[in-house]
Amino acid sequence: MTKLISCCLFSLVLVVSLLLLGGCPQRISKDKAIAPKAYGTELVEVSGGNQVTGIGSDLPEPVVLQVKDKDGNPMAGALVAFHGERLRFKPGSALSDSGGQVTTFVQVAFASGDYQIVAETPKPGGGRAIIKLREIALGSEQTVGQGVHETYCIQCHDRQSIPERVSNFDNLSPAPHEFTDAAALNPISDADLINIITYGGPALKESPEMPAYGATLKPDEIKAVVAYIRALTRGAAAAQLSSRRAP
Amino acid sequence: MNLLNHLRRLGSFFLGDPARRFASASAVLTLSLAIVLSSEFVNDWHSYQRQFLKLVRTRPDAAALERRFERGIHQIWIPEQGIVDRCTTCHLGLKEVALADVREQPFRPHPTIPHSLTEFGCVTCHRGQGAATTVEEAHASTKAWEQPLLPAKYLESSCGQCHLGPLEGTPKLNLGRRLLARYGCARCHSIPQPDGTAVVPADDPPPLRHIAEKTSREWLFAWVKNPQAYAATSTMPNLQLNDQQASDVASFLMAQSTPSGSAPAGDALEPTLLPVTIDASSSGKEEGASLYGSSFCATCHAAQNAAGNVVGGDLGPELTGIGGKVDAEWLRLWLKNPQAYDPRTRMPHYRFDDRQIALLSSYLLSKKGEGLLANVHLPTADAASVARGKNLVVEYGCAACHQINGVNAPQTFAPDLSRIGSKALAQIVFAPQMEKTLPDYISQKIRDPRSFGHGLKMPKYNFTNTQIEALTTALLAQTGRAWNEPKNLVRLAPRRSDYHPGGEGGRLIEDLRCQSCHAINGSGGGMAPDLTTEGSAVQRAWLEEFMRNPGTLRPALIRRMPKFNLTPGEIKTVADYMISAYQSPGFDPHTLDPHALTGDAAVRGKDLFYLKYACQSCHIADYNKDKGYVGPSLTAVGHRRPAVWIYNWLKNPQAVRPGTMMPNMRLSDNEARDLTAFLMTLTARENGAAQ
Amino acid sequence: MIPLSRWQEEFKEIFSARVRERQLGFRHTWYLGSLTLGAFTIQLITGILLMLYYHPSVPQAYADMKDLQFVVSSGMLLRSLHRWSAHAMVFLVFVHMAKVFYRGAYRPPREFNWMFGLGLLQLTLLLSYTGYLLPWDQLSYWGTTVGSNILSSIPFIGDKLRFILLGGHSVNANFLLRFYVLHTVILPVAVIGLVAVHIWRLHRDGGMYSAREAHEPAATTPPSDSPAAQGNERTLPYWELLFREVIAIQVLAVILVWIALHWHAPLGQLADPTHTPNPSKAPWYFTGLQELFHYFPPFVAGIILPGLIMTALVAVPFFNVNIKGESLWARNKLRRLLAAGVVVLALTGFLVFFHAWVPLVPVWIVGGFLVLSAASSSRQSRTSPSWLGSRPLSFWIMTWFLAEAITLTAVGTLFRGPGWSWVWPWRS
Repeated sequence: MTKLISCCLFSLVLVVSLLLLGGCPQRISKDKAIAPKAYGTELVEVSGGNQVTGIGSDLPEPVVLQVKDKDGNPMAGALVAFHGERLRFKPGSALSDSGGQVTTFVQVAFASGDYQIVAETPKPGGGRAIIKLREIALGSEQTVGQGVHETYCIQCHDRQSIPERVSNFDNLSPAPHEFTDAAALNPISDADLINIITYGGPALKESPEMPAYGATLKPDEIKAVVAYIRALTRGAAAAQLSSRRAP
Repeated sequence: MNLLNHLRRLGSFFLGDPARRFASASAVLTLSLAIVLSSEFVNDWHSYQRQFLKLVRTRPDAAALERRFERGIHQIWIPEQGIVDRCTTCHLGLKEVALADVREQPFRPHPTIPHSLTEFGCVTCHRGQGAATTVEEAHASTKAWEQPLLPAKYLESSCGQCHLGPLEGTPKLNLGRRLLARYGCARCHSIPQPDGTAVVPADDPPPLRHIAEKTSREWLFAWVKNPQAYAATSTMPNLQLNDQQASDVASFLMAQSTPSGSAPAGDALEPTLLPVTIDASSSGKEEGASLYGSSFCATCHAAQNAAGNVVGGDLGPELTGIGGKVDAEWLRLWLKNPQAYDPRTRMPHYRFDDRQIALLSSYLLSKKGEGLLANVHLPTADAASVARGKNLVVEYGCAACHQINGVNAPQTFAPDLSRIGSKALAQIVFAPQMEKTLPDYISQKIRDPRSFGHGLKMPKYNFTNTQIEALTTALLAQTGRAWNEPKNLVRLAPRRSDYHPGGEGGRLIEDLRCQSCHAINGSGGGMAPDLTTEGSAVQRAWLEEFMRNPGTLRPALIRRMPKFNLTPGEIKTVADYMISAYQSPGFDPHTLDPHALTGDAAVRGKDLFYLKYACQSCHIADYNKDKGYVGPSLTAVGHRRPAVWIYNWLKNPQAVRPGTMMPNMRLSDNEARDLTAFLMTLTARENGAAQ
Repeated sequence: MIPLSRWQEEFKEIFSARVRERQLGFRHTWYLGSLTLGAFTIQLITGILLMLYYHPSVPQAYADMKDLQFVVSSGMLLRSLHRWSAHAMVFLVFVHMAKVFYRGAYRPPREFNWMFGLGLLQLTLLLSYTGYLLPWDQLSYWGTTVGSNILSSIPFIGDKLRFILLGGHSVNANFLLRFYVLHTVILPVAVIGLVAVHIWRLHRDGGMYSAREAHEPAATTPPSDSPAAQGNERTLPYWELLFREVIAIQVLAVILVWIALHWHAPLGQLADPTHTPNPSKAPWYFTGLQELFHYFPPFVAGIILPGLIMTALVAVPFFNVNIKGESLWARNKLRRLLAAGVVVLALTGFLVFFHAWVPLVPVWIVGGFLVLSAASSSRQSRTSPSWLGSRPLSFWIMTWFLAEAITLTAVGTLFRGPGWSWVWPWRS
C-alpha cells in the first residue's frame, strides 16, 4: 500500500479520535470562596437550634444566627461558616446581612441521633467566635413514637400551649416529666419506662394520674415511645427542646 | 549508542526468530490472562467482607459473629416477586442485633421497622439495583440501571406503594396525601388508585356562574394576579398572569355571569327583607363582632386578628379582607340563605333575623384587609378583552376547578400521576441547572413549575419546604406497584361513602349542612364528632337542649358548634331522627341493669374516680376543685350520656370511638359499673356560658 | 466414487504446500485472514462459556447479564471479550476483504473462493446481528426491531418473511429464541463449514496470492528443486507461515484481553417495548445503512442498495477490466475522463434529488482524486501521483464504496441524535 492511502487512513483515524475525545463531559463548577468584609466578636443563635426532624430530611426551620460586635450591636458583612459531621448546609458559608443575621438550611444524614452544628466567624485580631447547636434526627421507630406522643402524651407532658391545644401540664400535681427532661429520665431504665407506660404510675409507685396504656397501645408502640424519649434525652443533659416540633 | 545496542540485543533475544516470537507472545498472553482473571478478586465486595472480618475480630463477641459470617455473595431471593437483592453481600451487619453500636455504613444494622428484611427484600423500599455487587452499580444511576437509591428523606414513599391509606409511622406521607387532596391537585391531574377509586380533591372552589353579583371586576383582577395577597391561607395557586391577561380574565368572568335567582323571591321565615340601616358606629361594630364571635364563624372561617395572626378554621374561605371583596347586598342575601346563591356550598343556613344580618354584614364589610384595590385601575372591558379572557380561561383550565358558564370542565387537562413515582429518567426533561434525579424533578416541578420551559401552564403554589418534601413523598409513592402486587399484599384506603340522610329530618340536616363538620356513616367532615351512633350516645333531652343552645364541652377549642336559631319543631324533628336512626346495636339498654346503679355503687365509684384511677387529671367532675383539661368536662355527664353508653365506653373506649385519646383502663365489670353509677350522679346544669 | 488416495492428496496439498519467503512477512497480507479466524475462535470459546449461564427467555436473559456481571467469576471478562472480539471480527473481515480486493486476489481461478469469502462476510454480519439481541436491553431490542422492520418493506413477501424471522408479529420471546438458535448453532456451524472450504480452496488455488500470478499461471507447488524457474526465491514449508499467523493471533488475543479488562461491555436498561429510545440506533456496522434510510425509502435503502452492492462485489471477478488490472487512463483517456465526469454529475444529481448530502461528500472527494490521478497519469515519474494514475477501474469503485461506507457509518454513529437530527458529538 502506498503512502497516500496510509496517510488518508491515518488522518481519518486522527479525526475520528479527536471527535470522540471531544465528547468529554463538562465539569460542574464548585462554589467560590467568599472573603469577609467585616469581623464580629460574638455569634448568637436567633432560631433553629434543637429541632427534631426525620433522617435524611431538612430541618423544618432554617438556622438563623446573628453576628455581634463587642458592643453587642449587629455586625454586617461578617463571614460565618457552618460545619457539622454528616450535615449538609445550603449555603455552607455566608456573609451576615444588614441586621447581622445569617441563615442556612440544614440537611441531616441518614442516621438517627444527635447532630452538632458548629458555626464560626473570624474575630478581629485573630481567633474565632464559635457557637454549637444541637439537632436531632429521628429514625423510623422513633417517628412512630413521635406520632404516638402527639396523639396520647403531648396533652399532659408538654408544658407549652398552642392555639389548637391548651396544655394540661399545670393542672397536674405532681407535675409530669417533659420528654426532654434528660436529668429526670436518663436515670430511669428502658424497662422501667415501658412498665410505667404499660401499667400506669402505680407500677413505679408514682401518681395514678399517669394512666395505664397497656390496653390502648401495642407493645411495639410503647417501645417506639421509649425510643423517641431516648432520642430526645440521650446526649444532651442540659439542652432544652424548642417548642416547635417536626410535622 | 550503548543503549541502542542493548535494546537491539534485548529485541533479538525476545523477538529474534519466529520461535522466540511465539514464546514471547505466549508468555504475554498467559500473563495477561492471569492478571485479568485474578483481578476478579480485587473488587468491592471482597474488600468489604475483609473489612467486616477485621471489625468483628476487635469485638468481644467475635467468635459468635465470625461463626455466623459466610464468605461469598449473599442474596435475598424471592422468586414470586422477582426480587434478587444482593445488598447483604456488603451490608453484612444488617440483621446483626449485636452490632447495634456500629454507626458507619456498610456495617450498620438495620433500624427496627414493621416488616422483616426478608419479607420484601431491600430494593422494594430503598430502590437502587439489587442484583449488583459493586457500589456504583448498586447505589447510583448508571447506564445499565437508571433508578438510584431513594434518599432517606423520601423513604416513607415506599410504604405508600402498598399502603394506600393513612399509616401510623409515616407522618410525611400522610401529610403529603392530605396536601394533594386539600390543594386540589386531583382536579387537573387524575390520580387513579388500584381499587377503582381516584384521589378525591378536598378543596372547595366556588362556582363563578353568578360572580358579577358577588364582587367587582377590580377585585377579580387583583385576585387572579395574586390570590395570596388577598387571603394568605387561600388554596388557589398563582397562575402567573401578567396585568393584561388578568384584566382579560376578569372581564370575561364578569361577562359570563348570569343572575343567580337568589334575589329575594320569598323566604318562608321572612317574606320581605326590609332594608335596615347599617349601624356604622363603634358600638354597632362591637355588637357585630360579638355576634360574629358567638356565632362561632371562626369554627370554619379564618381571619386575621388584632395581633396579626390568622386564626380560625379552614373549611371556608379566609375572611380577612372580605369587606373589600363582596357586594353589600350580596352579603346580606348570602347570610340569609347561602344555598340560594350556591346550592352546593358547605355553609349552613343559619336562620339569622334581619337585625343580625345587618350587624354581621356591617362587621364583615368593615374588614377591608390590605386595601388591595387601591391602585387597581382597569381599562374598559370590551368584546375583544372578553374574547381573550375566554381563551385564557380555556387555556389555563380554570373550569377544571370552578363552574363557569360557557366553558366545560376539561378532561385529562394535566398528566395522570398514578405512576409518576416510577417514571423513567430517560423520559424526563429536566430544567436547566438542577440535579437529575426523579425526586428532584418532582420537587422542582412543585416548587417552580414553569422553570422547565416556556408555555407551561401549571400554576405556582407557595409551599414551604416541609410541604414540598411531603408532597414529593406522596407522589413518589405512586409507582403503580399496587396494581401488580397480589391482592393480599395491598392495604386499600378507607372507603368514603355518599351517605346523606333522608326524610324530613334528613332535609333539615342537609339544610343545616351538619355533614360539613360531622361524619355520618362514613360521609362528611372530620372536624366534629362522628354522629353515626349519636342516638345511642346521648340522652334525648340533652340533645334537644344542646341544639337549642350549644354549650362548650371542650372549652380549650376554638371550634364550637354554631347556634342555628332553630324552631322547637325543627329541633324535635332532628332529635327524633337522630335518636331513632343513629343507634348502635352494641348499646342496648338492657345490657346494664339500672338497679345496679345504687348510691353505694356511686360512692365506690367516686373513690375509683379520684383515688385509684385519678380521672381528675384529665376530666373535671367538680369544677370547684378539679382542673384536668384534656377530655370533656364531666360535670353534667349524667344528663348527657346514657348509662349504658358510659359503661361501654369505660370498658373499651377504642371500640366505641377508634383513635380516641382516652386510655383503656382495663376496668373490671364491677369497677365500670360503680364508676358509671358515680358519673350518672353528675348532673350539674350547664348555664351555657363558656368556662 | 472418490478414492481415498484422492483425499490423501488434498490433505497433503494443504500441509505439504510450500510458501515463498516473501509471502511470510507481515506486509504481504497483514495476516488478516488468520486474525479473523482467531477472533472467531475467541468467540467460540467465550461464547460456549457464556452459554453455560444464559437463558434465552424474557426477562431472564437480562437478569443473566446482571448475574454474569456481578456474580459469575470472570463473567464480566467473558462478556467483554465476546463483545469486543465480535467487533474486531467484523472490522477485520471488512479489512480482509478490502485487502484481498486491492491486491486483486479475486482473479481466476480464485473467483469461487472470493464468493465464499463474501458469504463469510454475510455470515459474520448476521452472527453479530443475532448476537446483538441476546442481552435484551433497550439498545438490543430496538436495534434489532429497526432491522426486522426493514424486512417488511419487501413487496409481496416482506410481511411473511418478517413473521418467519420473528416467530410472531412483534419482537418478543419467540424472536429471542430464534435468534439464539441462529447465533449459537446454525450460523457458527455454517461459518465453520465455509471457513473449511475457504481455506481448502485457497490452497487448491495456489496458496497466498502474489502479484506475479497476474501475469503467470498459478504456481501452486513450485518444485523445490527448480529455484531458477521461480526466479531464485526461497520457498519454505507451510508451517512457517502457520507459526507466524499463530503469533499474530496471540497478539490479537492479548490486545483484546486488555481491552476487555479496561472497557466493559456496555449494558443498557431492560428492554421496554413501550418506550423507544430516541434515537434507537442499530449496531455500528449497520448505522451506515441506517443513515441511508434517512434519505431513501426503506425498500431502496434496505433491499435494493445492499443488493446492488452485493451483486457488484460478486460480479467483480467476472469482468475483464478487473482481471487485467490495467490503469484506468491507459486508453481513451479523454473519453474516460468525460465519462467519469458524467458519472459524478449523475450521482450528484441523484443524491441532491434525495437531499442526501452526506453520501455526496465521498463522491466529490473520490472524484477529486480521480481527476488528480488522470492528471498525474501522463507523468512518467515514479513518485506517488504516478501510482495513483495507474490504478484500475475496480480500485476506484472499491475506494468510492469504502469511502461511502466509512463516511456513512461515522455520521450515523457519531453525528446523529434524537429524531435522527444532526448533532455535533462534542456537544451533549
